Amino acid sequence: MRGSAASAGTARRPSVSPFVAFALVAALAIIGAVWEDSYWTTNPALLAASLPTTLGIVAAAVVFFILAWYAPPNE
Amino acid sequence: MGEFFERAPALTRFLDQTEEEIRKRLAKIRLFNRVFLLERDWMTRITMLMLILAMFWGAVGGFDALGFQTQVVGYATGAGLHLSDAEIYSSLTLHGIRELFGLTQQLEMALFGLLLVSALGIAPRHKWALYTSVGLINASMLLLEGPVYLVPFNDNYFPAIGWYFASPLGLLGQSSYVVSPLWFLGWLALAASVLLWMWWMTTHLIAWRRSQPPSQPIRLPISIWFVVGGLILVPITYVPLAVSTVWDMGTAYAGWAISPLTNQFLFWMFGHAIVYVLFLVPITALYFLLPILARRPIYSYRFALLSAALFVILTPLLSVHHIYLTPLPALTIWLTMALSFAIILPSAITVFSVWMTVKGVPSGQWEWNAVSLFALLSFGGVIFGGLSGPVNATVPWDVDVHNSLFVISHFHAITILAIVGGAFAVLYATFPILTGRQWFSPLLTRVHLVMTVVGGVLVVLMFDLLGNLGVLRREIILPNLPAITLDQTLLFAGIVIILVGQLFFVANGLFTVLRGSLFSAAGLSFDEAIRKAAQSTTFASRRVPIADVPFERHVPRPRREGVEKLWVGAIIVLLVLVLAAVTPATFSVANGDNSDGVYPAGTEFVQLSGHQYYWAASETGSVRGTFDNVLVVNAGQWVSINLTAAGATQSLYIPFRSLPPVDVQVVPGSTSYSLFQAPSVPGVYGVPDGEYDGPWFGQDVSALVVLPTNGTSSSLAAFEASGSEGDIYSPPVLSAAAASLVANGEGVFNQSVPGPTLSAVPGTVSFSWTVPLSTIGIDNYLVNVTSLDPNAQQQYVVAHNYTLPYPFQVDRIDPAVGLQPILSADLRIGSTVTETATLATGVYLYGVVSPIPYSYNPDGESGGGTGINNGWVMGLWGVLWVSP
Repeated sequence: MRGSAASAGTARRPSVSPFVAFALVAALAIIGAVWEDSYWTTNPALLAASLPTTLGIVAAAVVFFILAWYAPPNE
Repeated sequence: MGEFFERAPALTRFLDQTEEEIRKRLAKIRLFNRVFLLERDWMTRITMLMLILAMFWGAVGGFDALGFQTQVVGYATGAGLHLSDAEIYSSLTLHGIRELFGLTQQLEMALFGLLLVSALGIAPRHKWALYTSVGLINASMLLLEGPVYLVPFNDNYFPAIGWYFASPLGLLGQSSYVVSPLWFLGWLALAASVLLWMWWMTTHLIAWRRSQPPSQPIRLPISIWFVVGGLILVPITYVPLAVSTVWDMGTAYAGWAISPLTNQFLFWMFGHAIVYVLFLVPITALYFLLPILARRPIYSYRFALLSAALFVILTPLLSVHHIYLTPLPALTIWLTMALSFAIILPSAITVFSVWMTVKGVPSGQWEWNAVSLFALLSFGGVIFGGLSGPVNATVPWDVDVHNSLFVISHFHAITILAIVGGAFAVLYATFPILTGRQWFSPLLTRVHLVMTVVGGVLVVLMFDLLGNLGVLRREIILPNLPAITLDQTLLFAGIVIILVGQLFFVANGLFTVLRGSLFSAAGLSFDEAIRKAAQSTTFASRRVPIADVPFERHVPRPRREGVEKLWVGAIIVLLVLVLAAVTPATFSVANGDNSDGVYPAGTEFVQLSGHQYYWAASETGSVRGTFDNVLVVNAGQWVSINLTAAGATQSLYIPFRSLPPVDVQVVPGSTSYSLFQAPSVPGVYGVPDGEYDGPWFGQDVSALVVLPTNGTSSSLAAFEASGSEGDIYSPPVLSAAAASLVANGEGVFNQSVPGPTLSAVPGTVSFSWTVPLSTIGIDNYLVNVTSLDPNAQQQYVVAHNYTLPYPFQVDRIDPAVGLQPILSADLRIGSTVTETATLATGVYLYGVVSPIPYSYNPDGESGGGTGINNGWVMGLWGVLWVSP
């Protein structure tokens, strides 16, 4: 079950690579989660309790994508 | 214990022979033979049995949710309720239990067992230990259901208690709502089952290790390390469950001393940890499948191992975050918040590691099939659901969402999208290996996937929107607002979509075992067999070859781990920053006694006693008096409240949205405290009991009556213009003259509890009300249930001249002394009554303004053995506001 690589890679119709697909789903999930949080951060009465955590999530998301872009491939 | 199940050879032989007889007879029926794989080895048979039983409980639990939501939508759209409150809440209780344990826990046991045996090439042993474990978990599902009365059918003794039990709710002698002893036996059977399974798995792991050369270092596949992590967590999870259950039984049936807060702390050691035990399903699935599908090892074995270790170390330490709003030391709560933040770390490592595992895989070497797509769904679910976790973990934010449907949104994002997604990915990958048949229809897998995603996302989003509004979990008597009705209806649609979607999976599974092409893994490695199985769900005409090819590393470990270190470092820095930012607010959330004894000038002092199902208030300050379900204060006044509770945990919850919400839990045996400033706008604000406390939870809503500043009068125009500060539980305002109050089957006026706030000008005030005879029934607390005859309650009313011995009153709220009676007459049923009185400027209560004793005891069946549903209920009342 440990790693083994394939020499496959035969001509197939164009398809999205798994890295991009997982990136898109991650982006969608993060946008959804931050959108959920936006209800609280756009309400003045509820802002103070929710802002630090929301900012933390947004900052983590930015770092996540930057590092993923910068990271060497799994080769 | 090792040979316990083999030590009685006569018993083992008897069991083997019995099983063989049953197997041979059933195998003659083709359907049974194929579905239960009766001609395969015992490990395969048991695994298949577990999968089928898991699907069974999942289906039953799904229909429980459908049944509950049918009632909720029915009520929200004015159609009323057709089941008793006890039946409705028991369907929710059993939904949670069946999905969490009958489905998910059993599925985890089946899949982890299969994974361990297959991945390590172990010959399975101790058949009857595994059979016993399977028997116990399924027996526990039956026991937890409670007494079943088939003739005549009566399901009112099913446990209406929540998926968990929070002592003392349900305990004989401690609570007005009592569950059958079968409930506690069910939990013990569940704990015994999972602990036995843990022993079975551990035994095999040890045997495998002993079969390896001692000098050889252990390098398990990373997914197996997560299985090992789960095995370590099982006793940490289930032993506290057994202890708290035995304690509850001792309290209920042997008079042991009770400490609800300590018991709840113990229970939540289980209640929290079980989430992570089950969360290991998608985590293990991702670590298991993605390297196989990508044909390369995990990005960083050591960081993945660190993630597994952190899950195991941190999970047992977080139980307190489920009782944040109870009176615990602030430092304890802060520490739990810090640890709750810390458990973000292993999830962050996992998400990054599994994503990076596929970086560099060309699209031509990757196949999109049901396995990879469900893994993708699970990956998204882990992120989406995981990111709503910090909301609950942040104490000041948790005050806003605790007990609301927001929590349920978070929970279902994890369960439906992450756990179910991960479980289906593994199922699609292993089912052909198990059954020896290829998946029958890729089209059915596609429909299954799409409906699971659409239904799951819809359910999660609607729960989120409802929670944002402040709607409580388990609420069935909903505020009559268009947004709530729309969201509840869409939620119902989401449930239907996801349930129908699962039918396609079941159909595909059946067609696969009955008509699927033969699947052979002969000559294939385990990884190749998984790819071949996955390939039978692909939609593309050209396939990616499944063969293994040796993998050669080009990117050295330091480069890969360097990025992982940066990621972990960034998360730690962010967690510390967020923790520092929310710490001051965390320590200001005061739930214990107000030890400093310093209060703002003019503070109103209130003693609130929570009962099943009302608050008794005693006030001193500018308002004096005692009230049931009413809290009277002046506009802008500071309010100091000491709270106690009996029978069940209670919660003072005022879901303001234009002001900071008020949310305090109070556990019997402890005192809670709250200090808040009342709204500056006079009016009548809804104050639901935020914690489920039994079947009459929906009627358990109080009113915060905010009087105009001393000596002045005020209409309700400003209150209406403010939208009652966003408190959706505030009753609607109606003109008394135009109002026509009509009670419904839940014993509340105009679908609202409290009933509509009636406005009138000083002088002669009239309003009319009706309690139709047709509303008297099993879901109405106004008449006790003494017979299983569905007409008995109405017959009682008729026999008593359409009059019930509870006064319909109009009382004036006198700030100096409390309630002053204006008029009173017995409650009439079946006719419209017009009340008329000459009233001065002021605030009045109308209706049945004291709680009514309720008892469910048909033909004397209720008792400690079956269950008890008593209580004091108050729903047929409201506020009359008289101002120029």
